[in-house]
Amino acid sequence: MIPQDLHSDRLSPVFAALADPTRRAILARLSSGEASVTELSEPFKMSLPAISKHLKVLERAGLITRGREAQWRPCKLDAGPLKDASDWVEHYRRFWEASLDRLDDYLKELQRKEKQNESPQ
Amino acid sequence: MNHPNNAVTGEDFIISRTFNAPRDLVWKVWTEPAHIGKWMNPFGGEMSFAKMDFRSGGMAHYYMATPDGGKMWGLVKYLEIAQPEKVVQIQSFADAEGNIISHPMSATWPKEMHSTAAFTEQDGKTTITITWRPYNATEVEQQTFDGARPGMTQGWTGSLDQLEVYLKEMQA
Repeated sequence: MIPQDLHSDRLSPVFAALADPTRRAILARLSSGEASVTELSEPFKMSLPAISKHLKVLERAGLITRGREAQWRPCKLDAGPLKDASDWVEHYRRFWEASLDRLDDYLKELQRKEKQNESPQ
Repeated sequence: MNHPNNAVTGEDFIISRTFNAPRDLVWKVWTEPAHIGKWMNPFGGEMSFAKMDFRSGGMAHYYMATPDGGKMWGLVKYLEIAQPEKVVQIQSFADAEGNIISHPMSATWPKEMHSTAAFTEQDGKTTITITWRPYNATEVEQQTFDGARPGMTQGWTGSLDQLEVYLKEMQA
């Protein structure tokens, strides 16, 4: 459940990118398809340079890619790192859920034994 | 498995669970090393305490055996123990010598987590609510926690379901 692998360096910029609500909203918009910087800036009342800054953070984290060919350089979601981040969080949660599942079983076992000891031979 | 009472409120990460057992028993099993070793290792393997000083201001140093044959060491500093209501502690990953180390899977995950386990009893059932937040976190550690936290319950996009669907398709 806790593989000692390469996640650490790759995930840190992803979590940092996801810490910002504007960037999360940009990712959500991109999940329905490619968009230009202008299109992405529309819902936010933000300047293009401000949006570009957010896009750079997302790009560095590997969460989006920018088209090279088209003049409007569309942004595209790359869900790979997002899935890694999601898996990591899932591990963290599952770790505790698994302990609590085992606690539940253990409590049942203890109470069953207690009852057996109380009942007459 | 679905535990609907797990939620993120404010800045914390919370897990809650109700057990069909009286609080005195749950407290005992939660706090006594001989009992803890029987359930706390999520891998189901061995768990053993190198040190256990269960009192406010005390600490514990333990390991859990992992499926790959390794040992995952942890360190706990007990800040407050209020029997049978709550245990407040600082939780860290550690090495065998008891030095605090980074999370094995994320170098920027907060090295110290403030964790409160609260115990309430109703009708013979006991609810444990565990709350986590970063402790003494650097800016990067806090950012990592802030980035991970929304994903802990509702996905990073909150009400925007499309991304969830997309991720599910990816995993299919």
